[in-house]
Amino acid sequence: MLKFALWRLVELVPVLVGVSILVFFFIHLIPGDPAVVMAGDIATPKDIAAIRTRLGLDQPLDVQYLKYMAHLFHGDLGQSIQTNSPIAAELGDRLPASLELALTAMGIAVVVGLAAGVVSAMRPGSAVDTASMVGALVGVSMPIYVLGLIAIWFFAVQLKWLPPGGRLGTDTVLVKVTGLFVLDSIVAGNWRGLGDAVAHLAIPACALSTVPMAIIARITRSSLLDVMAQDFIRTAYGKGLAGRAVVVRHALKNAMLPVVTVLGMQFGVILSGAVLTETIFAWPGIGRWVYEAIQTRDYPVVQGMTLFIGLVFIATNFLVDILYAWLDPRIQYQ
Amino acid sequence: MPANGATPNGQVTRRKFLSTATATGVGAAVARWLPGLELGRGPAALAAAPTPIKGGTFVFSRGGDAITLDPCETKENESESRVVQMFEGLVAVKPGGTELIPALAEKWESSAGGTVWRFFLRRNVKFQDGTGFDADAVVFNFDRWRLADNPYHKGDFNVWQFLMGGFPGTMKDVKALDKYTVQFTLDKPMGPFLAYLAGPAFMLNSPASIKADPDNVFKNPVGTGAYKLVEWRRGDQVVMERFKDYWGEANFDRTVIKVIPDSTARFLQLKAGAINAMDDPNPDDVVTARSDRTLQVYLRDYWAVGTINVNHDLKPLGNVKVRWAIAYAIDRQGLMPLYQGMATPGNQAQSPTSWAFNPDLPPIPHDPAKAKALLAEAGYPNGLDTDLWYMPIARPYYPAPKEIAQKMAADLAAVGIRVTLKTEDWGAYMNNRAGKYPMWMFGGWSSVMDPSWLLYTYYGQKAAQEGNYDNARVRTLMENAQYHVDQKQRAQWYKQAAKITYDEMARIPVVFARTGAVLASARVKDFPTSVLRQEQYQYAWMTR
Repeated sequence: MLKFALWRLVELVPVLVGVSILVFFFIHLIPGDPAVVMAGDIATPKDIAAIRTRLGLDQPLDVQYLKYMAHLFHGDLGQSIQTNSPIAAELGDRLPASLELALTAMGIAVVVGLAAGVVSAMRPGSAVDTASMVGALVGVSMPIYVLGLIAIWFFAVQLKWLPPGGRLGTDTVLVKVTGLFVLDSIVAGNWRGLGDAVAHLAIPACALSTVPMAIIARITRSSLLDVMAQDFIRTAYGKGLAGRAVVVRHALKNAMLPVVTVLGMQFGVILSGAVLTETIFAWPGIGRWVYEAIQTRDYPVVQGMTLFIGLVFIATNFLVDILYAWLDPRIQYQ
Repeated sequence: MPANGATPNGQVTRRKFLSTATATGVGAAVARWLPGLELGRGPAALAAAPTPIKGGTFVFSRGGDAITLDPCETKENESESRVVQMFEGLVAVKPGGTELIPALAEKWESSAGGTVWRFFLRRNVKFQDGTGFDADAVVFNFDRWRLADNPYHKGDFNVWQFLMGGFPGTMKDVKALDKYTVQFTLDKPMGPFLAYLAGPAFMLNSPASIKADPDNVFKNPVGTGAYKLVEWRRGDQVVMERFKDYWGEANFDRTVIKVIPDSTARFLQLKAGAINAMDDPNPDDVVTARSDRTLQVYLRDYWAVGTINVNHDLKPLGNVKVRWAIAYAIDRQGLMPLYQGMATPGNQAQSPTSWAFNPDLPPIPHDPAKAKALLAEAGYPNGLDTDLWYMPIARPYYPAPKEIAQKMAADLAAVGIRVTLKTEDWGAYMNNRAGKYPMWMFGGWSSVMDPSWLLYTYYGQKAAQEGNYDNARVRTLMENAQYHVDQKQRAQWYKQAAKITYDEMARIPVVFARTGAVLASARVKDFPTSVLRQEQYQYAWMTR
């Protein structure tokens, strides 16, 4: 297993280099000059040229790329063209927001999706199964933009049960430790802050969880149905085990492999791609940040964040592989 | 029947009862719904302005975050909107108005030639770090901006370069004559000088704060303004609290500017009471807010202009008859439903709010017959084909660019000008418009309280960059107005230039637009709108 882990780390380097080359050159193909966007409407061609020189944008692309990679190997992701702030620092500010939202959404998706999938698999063709799968279909089909606005309107405007957006109320003061506000408030014993943070998380996390929840429910159901049809399950029933024990102790673990695969992919997607959710709920995460960087041609941010997101997917896949080995001891890595 | 409606035995008739009940009900409804009318208050009390209630937190929402909190580097409205809460300049724009008024300078005077200016500073003013404001602080700030070799001159300083023409540009010298008097020496008179000083880019930062951390001035704002920074959560919000030693008026204890990118989500947060006011609403939400008694609409005045720009070097758009044909073809009144009350038909490059507006220029009528006749005279009796580029993002002067473009395309087609509608990403649009497009929708508004910001850009020295329109007489008028200080004389020159560019249809005016609307809770009072979109929230207040 250790050799496997080390080999995966070694594989990381060419993958990231390949991603960085693709992103670097493709983003420069998009029409529009970041110097023009940065200079604003009042700029003259001379001003724009000065900005291009200052940022090194007037140099050949291969020179720009090599300089960028040289900085990267020193741990420097560069500076945002728009804000002049180090990208690493901004990532440190925004990543916790995305992480908190993604972890909460995945938690909801896993709990509800798994439960729905198991119940559906145990009662195939029943009203519960049908309702569950129709719900999954609606969840995966409903645009999150629409769902989010309806949820805000209903829970925040009409019922006034939950706040309509943001991470915290304007009057809530929280000492930032990790940037995960739920965790920070628990650590500080700030229960009012905890309540506020959880209340603000509720609607966006539920909205964001609908797609992975639907996928997990459907995959769990079909995977479990496959496993339930196998001989060893019949043997377990034959030995007199109750239905729940058969499912939980024998079937579920064997059915989890495809579910774990989907979990890993979905986590990467919602961590880095929750642009619409972050926009609707005014959540200051990395998805919205990258989208805005693309709009303003903030090349360093797009490049840096693409590498980071690539790293996230690679790390997640690695964890998924580890989980495989735990779930199925027959899987051996060499 | 007695006249008072009572029966001979003293009982009230059904008719009397119903009329009395109706009158009572109507009266109660009027009392409930008529703004400002409270039961029990007499006419004298109603006529008096209510006393502002001090305290509380005011939460204002905008669609984007600031890029910088260093005033001299602000060149977009998001940064400006935060900076004006925390900083002040020597001169200010009157809250809710357009006149220039004293701020950190109590008064000023200039030499006859307009090249030497003296400003007499307000005393007993402090920066938010406790250091004193004086002439040395003013000199420090101006030297930081104007001298390229100043140790604190770190950054682009694009606005200074644009307005002052370089480093040091027009401002040859600035010195402290005594603790509270500053003298500026310009190499030539500058008409918009006071207006520049009233803008965010000339607001003054604490020298001690800049010296302490010169690389992070953009996120360590220390001004003399009503509010000081508490926290800036990037992409989320800027939280400010009232500066206890502020010399002026500030009603709120705290002000928060919150980023909510989506305008529908922003409106829902306003309805839910999570924010108190918001900028850039959807036009439909403005209509909804007007009929919602928990909300109100503050309209900014007409200040922006929307135009169709053409490349004068391209046939046939270089022909003035063709440009006038385009102008006559567009049904400006017919576009108004798409603006939902936020614009009015335009006919020149300055709105009626500006002192440079020429009231003698007639409106441009919608006259398809005249348009066709002009096209025929220009040699295009069968019409012509060209492209019309529309912007991909909403702006105050084109809030629904695609729909407006479609309507204008239909108007043009009706006279034989067949346009193909095109667009591209905003960054590309800004880059390509002046060189690649034959005709494109554009517009703007002045970011300082002076017409030169737009007019000198449009028609001054650098005019040819945008559409290749170059008229020597207009350029001379622009130069004259730029380099004289007498406002009445400047107004005359601008009006003459407006006449020429109108006759030549240099840019085809479409609308004068309000620079947006602010939707607010009905509890918000005295919100001071600014055509520059640089409201200072300290003057507003909220009922409990």
